[in-house]
Amino acid sequence: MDIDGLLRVITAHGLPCHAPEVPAAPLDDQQWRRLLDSVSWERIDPLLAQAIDEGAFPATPEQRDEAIDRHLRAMAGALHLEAALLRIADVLDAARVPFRVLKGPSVAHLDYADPALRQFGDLDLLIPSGRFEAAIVALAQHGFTRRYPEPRAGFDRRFTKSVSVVHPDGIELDLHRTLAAGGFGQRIDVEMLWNTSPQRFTVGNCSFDGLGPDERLIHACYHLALGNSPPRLVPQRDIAEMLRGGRTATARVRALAAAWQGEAVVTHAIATTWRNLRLSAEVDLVSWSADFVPRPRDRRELARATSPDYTYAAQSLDAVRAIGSPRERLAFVSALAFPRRSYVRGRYQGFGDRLRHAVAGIVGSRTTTKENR
Amino acid sequence: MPAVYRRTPRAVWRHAHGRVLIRTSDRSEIVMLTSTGQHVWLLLDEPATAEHLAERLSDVYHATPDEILPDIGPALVDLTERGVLDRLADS
Repeated sequence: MDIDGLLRVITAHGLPCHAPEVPAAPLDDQQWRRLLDSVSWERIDPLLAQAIDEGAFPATPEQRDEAIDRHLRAMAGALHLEAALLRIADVLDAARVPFRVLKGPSVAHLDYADPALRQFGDLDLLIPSGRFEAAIVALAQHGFTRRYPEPRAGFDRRFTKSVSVVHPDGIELDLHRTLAAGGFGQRIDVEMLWNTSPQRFTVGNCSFDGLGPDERLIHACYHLALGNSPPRLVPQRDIAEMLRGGRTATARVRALAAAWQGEAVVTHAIATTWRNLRLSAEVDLVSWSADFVPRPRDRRELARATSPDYTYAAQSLDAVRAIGSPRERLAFVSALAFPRRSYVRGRYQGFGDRLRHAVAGIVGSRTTTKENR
Repeated sequence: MPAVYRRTPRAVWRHAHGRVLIRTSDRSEIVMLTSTGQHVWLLLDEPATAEHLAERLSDVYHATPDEILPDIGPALVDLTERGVLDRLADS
């Protein structure tokens, strides 16, 4: 059995699925090493260890010990991040910046039966557009620095998907204005995310707000479909956990996806998850996803956005098309065409370089792919 | 009156494979608990005395609370020194 097949079996461990193809005997050392590397890259160490522990995946005693050791190391990483989340919450609370926790810790505590089964490698927070600058200033006072400067003053608040900041101790934090990049991201009604009820969870005796279950599912779908190409396995497991948990409301998920013109994204992600993991559970949203026919425009945009060759320039063009107001569109294009010097420094030497890069991107060159943005 | 112990506030933790991993907010190392330490941690979802813990652990270890108590005391002291438990004022 190939490694990709094994990874899918491990990701689906414990979920109802069609005849998982599990190896009959423990893998030989070479295959095992390859599997371990891929499992860690996909961040599914907890699921491998659990599958072995429960006798669902054959392993030698040494392999079992190694899988457990990797799981415990992954959990140690998650605990360091949760400890950082407590400190970051103090900073943002003091600066009166409201936030919602996205992805890793939120999904681990709200959607998995045991948070020890969900590994994560960074922190993601949703910040209101109007408090974006205040959040960055407050975090900078506590040692966080931006990975990339802002292209132009006000760009983050108006257009950005997210801003990455890092701490000298290695903590990576993504501050999100919205849930996705490109055209699909621009069409999300960000205010709606703040006007709906959050779901609370506890970390270290402190309460945090995550998105509500329907918004969390949609975010996982956007992350799966638009985040990496080919799609990573953890968001697939997340979607499966969310749908089997029965916390999502079918009609509301469909209404939100329609309102944000993201039905093509959501149905693609759910259908991909069920097909890829060979899941068998019958769920309304899965049936809807299987039958959904996107509009030609959405199908074309989704095909671009899910391609490994989707460049930053092409993503920006899709974003421009999705921005409703001509004035906003002009501001977006101006910011990217004529950014601050600090934004350009170290990236492209001058306007000619930027132009060549943009043209290369538009014609589909591999100069800047989704992986290295 | 006997001392009451509780989990350190803002400690984050996971339980997997018969171990408990704990990270407190003011110490950067991860504390890993097995056997008695693990059971003590899991039982401390509410503050408790060593005597109360010994009573509850007697089922786990198939022993009387009096037999267990001599092991509990040092474990609580150790966990307090490692920063994962707080010893509250004597009740």
